[in-house]
Amino acid sequence: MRPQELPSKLRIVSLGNTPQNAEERAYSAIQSCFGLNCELLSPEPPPEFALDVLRGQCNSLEILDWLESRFPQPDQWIFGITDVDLAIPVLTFVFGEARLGGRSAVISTFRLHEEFYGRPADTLMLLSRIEKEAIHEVGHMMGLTHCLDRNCVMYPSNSLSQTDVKSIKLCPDCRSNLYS
Amino acid sequence: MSLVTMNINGHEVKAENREPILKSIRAMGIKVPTLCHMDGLEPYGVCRMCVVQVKHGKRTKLVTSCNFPAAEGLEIQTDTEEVLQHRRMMAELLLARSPEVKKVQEIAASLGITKSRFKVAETSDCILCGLCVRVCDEIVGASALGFIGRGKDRVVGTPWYVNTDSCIACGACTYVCPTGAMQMETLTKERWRRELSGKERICRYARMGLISNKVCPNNFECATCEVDQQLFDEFGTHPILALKPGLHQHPKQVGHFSLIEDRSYFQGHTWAKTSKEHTRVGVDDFAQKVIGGISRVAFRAEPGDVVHRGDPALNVSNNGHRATMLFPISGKIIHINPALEDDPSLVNEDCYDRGWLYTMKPTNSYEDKSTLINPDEADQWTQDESDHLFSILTDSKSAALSDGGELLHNFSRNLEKKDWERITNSFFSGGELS
Repeated sequence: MRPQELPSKLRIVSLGNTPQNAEERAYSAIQSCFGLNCELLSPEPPPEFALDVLRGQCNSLEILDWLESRFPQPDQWIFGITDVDLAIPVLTFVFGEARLGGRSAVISTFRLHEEFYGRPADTLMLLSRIEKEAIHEVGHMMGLTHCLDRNCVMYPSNSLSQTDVKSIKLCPDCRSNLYS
Repeated sequence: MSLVTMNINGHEVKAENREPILKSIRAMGIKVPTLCHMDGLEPYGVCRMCVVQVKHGKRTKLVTSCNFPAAEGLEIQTDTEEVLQHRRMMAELLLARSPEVKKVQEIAASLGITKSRFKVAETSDCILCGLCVRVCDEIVGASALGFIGRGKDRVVGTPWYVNTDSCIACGACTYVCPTGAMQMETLTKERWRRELSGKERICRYARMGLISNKVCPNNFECATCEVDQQLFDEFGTHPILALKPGLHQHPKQVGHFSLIEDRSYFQGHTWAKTSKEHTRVGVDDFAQKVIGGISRVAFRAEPGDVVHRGDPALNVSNNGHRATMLFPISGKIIHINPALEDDPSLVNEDCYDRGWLYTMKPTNSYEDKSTLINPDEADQWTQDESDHLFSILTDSKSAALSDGGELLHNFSRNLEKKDWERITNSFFSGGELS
């Protein structure tokens, strides 16, 4: 499902505290990969409204709905970055979620930290994972579905190791799908 | 595969690159003794009877030909004095360990050895060739046997030497054992009848799914059983070696779902796997995961029925949710899987093997081939279906796709009726909520 038309602007907003430079890195990654006009917004509060108390995780679908109602301009896309753990009802967790061909996406840095896996902090790894997840989710907003190429940024990663394996680039097939 | 040129005993030979050199040597009619080698199993290289001398570049060395890969420019000698000396030494050692074993005696005699110089404290008929362990793992797929201990204490056995549920009592290990060390155990006739229930006396071929159901009246003494004889005659070997249920078909993962490449898939998420005798059908991993913990199955056809592709094959239910799976091919039903009626969760546990549904005689294999999704296209198809599934599961206003996470086990239990109906209509064939 392809978007009706490209947005005049993609607005990036952090929900609660996020790692230092996360928005800036997402901004430059999205801009250089898709050539979209991006804008950084001032931070919003953490998405407590979406918290599923039993699971201790926030429902990413509710966050997408909230983002769309909070920033309703139809010609602008909205991209959220949060540090809370995200999930949808059928999955154990998600790194990110986006409306396919829609105007909202959100990523979580919760499971991108090395510390989450009991290893020493690594800012460079964290930022490169944020870039990959940002491009992956914006790819969905641009109408791309998942790709079978392990190196393509649109490869669905079920675990962090798969995120680390995939590159930050779109494979030639996805790139040609993007502009066809 | 590219071809390489090698030289065997002075003759130029072409062989496929990296294929074990034993194959080319035997193809030339040269006799090479082996104990641990069997066609169809991964080479192992432990009996060391197949050693040959290989010269590659400037280096000459002795290698086991069963697992040494062919390469351009190899010069192979199969009967130099060094090779024979090595084989004689191995034969002597084996003869010391297993003096009573006929096969070892024969190989030793062919090398001119009749008596071993070595003394061992304890002789054994088992030469640790590992054929039983490997056949159970690679061909049967049960992995019930393994090696225990190391060095002089190494023996073949089940974990902790106790009876294991993994063993399907197929007898493949006794069939491939070159020395007769591996034997089927039988109980006395009285204990057999008194202590085992009918369920525990199911014929090994029924457990392998070759025949519908049969309680063994014969104390598992297959050698004197008519059914056993018929099946051996039909297949020309141990039936399980012909069917190879576990042969290296490890499922591959596409997103959240697994696929096996040796079969074709139907749009309604059932598969068909064709062998020489018949076609077996079942449901795929996508269906199994989406339906969740299957609590009941009902077969919609019986042996003897003639069905068409797209006819209902099986009703499954998962505590409230129901779905109907469809036949992937047209044909006549030969068997249904008897194990599923007792234990429907086999479909969840092992949908590609023990959880099969029917064996069939296809009416038109050519048409099947052209309409089913072949293994090359199955990856892309599964990925597309996965994206489609998630867009349904996340569809509050419009579809969303996510990155990360594992599917929750039995997630469909919590789905609402309308979502479940949408899923069964989109992927299977329609379903209902009771």
